[in-house]
Amino acid sequence: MKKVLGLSIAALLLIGLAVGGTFAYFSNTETSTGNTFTAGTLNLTVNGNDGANTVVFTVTNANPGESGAGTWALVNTGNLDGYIDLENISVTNAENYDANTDEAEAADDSDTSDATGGGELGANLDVVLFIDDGSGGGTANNGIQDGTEATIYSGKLDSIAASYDQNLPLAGPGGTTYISMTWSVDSSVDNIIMGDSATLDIDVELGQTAGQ
Amino acid sequence: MPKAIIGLCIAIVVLLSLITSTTWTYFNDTESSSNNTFTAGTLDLVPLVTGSYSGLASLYHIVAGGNGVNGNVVFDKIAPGQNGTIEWVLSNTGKLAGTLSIACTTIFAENGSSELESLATGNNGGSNGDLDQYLLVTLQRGVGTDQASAEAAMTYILGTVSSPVAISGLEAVLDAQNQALAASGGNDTVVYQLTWSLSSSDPNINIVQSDTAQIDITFTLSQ
Repeated sequence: MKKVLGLSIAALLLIGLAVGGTFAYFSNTETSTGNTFTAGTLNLTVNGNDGANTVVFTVTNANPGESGAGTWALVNTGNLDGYIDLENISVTNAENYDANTDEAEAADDSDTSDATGGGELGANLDVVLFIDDGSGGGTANNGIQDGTEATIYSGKLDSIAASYDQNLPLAGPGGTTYISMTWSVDSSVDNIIMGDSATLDIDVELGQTAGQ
Repeated sequence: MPKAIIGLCIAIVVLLSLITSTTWTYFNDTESSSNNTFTAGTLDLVPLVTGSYSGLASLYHIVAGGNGVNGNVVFDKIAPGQNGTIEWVLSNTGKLAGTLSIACTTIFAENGSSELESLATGNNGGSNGDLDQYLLVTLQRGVGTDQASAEAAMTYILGTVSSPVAISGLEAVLDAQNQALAASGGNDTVVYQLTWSLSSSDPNINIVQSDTAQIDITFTLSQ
């Protein structure tokens, strides 16, 4: 029994030495932890909407001599600076002609069919699209082009361009600017626009670079 | 006491005295071998972290680190079209040669999913983010007698300048490193240079907004 016990102790000592030996060599450890990449963010809200469509104008029963204005409030809620452009602008006209009620229009409108470009409201609606940022002593976000606020477009709604690369700087986070549009129907316009509708679609793009 | 016994005792004492005294009269030479010294060698790995960034300097932070001091680089708010580098310079300032091994952990996080990310095809919002796929990197390694000569000797060990690869492949390459480093004065320095870029041509790049990628590295120089 003593012999077995002795052998066991010897074996344990041997294993202990072998294992212990691997930790006895020299080594030196250094670290470089916390190397971090964080992607920035660009995010645009329009009138507080983030990802949801923003309808600024819902004008009903417009008539000659009438006017109005609407404003898009643009906020960069991301943490990167960006640039504002207006893209994919389109105007869609419709006659909405009802022969039972719109005979007055027919008197002035030789084409009451949507088949040839729709109604005539877009061709007779005067608009001024401008940066309502209060430049030059104007007042921001008032829907009135005052001070030296820059014009983006002025003319008939139908003739608005498909895009405007404004490259308006909008710092993040929290940078805010306003784009407004006034509209009016000249009092000289006749029954040709009665019942017609014009739909304006605009995409507002916040890009990382001015080249986008 | 008989005189004979006293005389015998005196004779023995005298004899012993003679024998003892005689040992000091043999030839003798003494030499010394003192100051035999054993000095343990040293292994000392000194890291230095540097980097560069194409974006705003205010969004880029370097802690160079040093001997026993963690160093790292932080790139904040990176954006498509940007690029940068991280360079780790590791020198053996000890007197023994060693072998450098690396343990790397890469961590990716989504940090919430914005509207734009949600619209991006393939977004894995709420999971581990997408920088692991979209952050493209190359890794070069060079060995030399100092930083400059090591940089001059760099070759690609992950991706190439014309074909960078996703950062998800970085961990395995670093973990496989088993780099011999000479003692101080020899080829004692190795440089690892990571270049990164975020594509400006991928239409799906909004998918990475606010995502993070983190690289944690432990360098061990062993005997």
